Amino acid sequence: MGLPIGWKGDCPLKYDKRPLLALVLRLVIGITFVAASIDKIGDPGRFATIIYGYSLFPGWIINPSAIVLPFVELFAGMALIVGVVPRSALMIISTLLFVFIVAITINLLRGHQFDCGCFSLAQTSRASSAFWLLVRDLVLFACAICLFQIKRPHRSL
Amino acid sequence: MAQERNEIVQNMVQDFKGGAVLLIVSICCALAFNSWSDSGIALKGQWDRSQGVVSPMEKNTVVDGSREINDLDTMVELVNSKRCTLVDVRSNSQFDAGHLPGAVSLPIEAFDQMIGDFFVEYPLDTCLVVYCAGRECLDSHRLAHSLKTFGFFDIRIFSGGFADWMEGGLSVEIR
Repeated sequence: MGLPIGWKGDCPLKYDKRPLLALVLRLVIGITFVAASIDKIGDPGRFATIIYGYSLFPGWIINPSAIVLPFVELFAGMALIVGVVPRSALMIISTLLFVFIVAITINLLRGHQFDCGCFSLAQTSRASSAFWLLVRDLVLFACAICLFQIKRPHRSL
Repeated sequence: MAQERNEIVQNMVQDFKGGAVLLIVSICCALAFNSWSDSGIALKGQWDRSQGVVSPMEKNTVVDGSREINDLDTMVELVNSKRCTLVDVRSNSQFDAGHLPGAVSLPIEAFDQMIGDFFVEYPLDTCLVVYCAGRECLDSHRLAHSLKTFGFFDIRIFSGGFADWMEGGLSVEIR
């Protein structure tokens, strides 16, 4: 079945239980990631400044992240939408969401003002909206983990 | 049991392989696009505040580190000597609330409207020291670049800006 080792639970979104819901969620997560990548690809300089604004990452990693991360989001999102290596895409998306959640949580806890740069780079997010971004990321993360139980395409189709 | 475990391991290996392919494709496309795009950035930015204004170092960057004054003592000396004209690029309201002694206001958003008068008042060989809010503000570099295109050549940038001046506990003028 390809369940994560040690997980014996049965997720309500399991593909063979509610296929339509699972498909919709797969598309929602995929489209969310593709949409989030567009602005960042167009203006990596602004995205690098946003990463710097988190005050969590060493200088040497900021530019490479600003260049590569949006493309990882784009390809993982597209892979999830079209259903090519969806479990691999979900693995990447879950990891990214986990990093975002940790970064936003740390900054919220220490009261650090920052722009999340999650969608439009022009959109600034301060503490109150950062909280809702955290909630949204947590929901997406939970959905991604549940969807990870999707059967492999050659078996489910 | 052993077969099931074997299957799980095989599935995970396949998932990791798929993930690795996605990552490699992403990295290759990202690097190719970055080198081709006009909005591309350097692989290493300038994120060390002690080295001056922070910047991702875009291809078309206006940041010129060689013009920066990073040392507050040097700046204090320059201000006291009155040898150079200080140019504050922040907004009018910020300028009115407090600025470096003797500074003139040339807000970057009003550059097109004000450059005519500035041009008349200050000859091209005037020593100019431009500053903005702080080390995370690129407006001083943008304005210096614009002034350079108008023919001013003796331009320096106080990278610490108003924030460093205030942190140093130095006096400011209020209009």
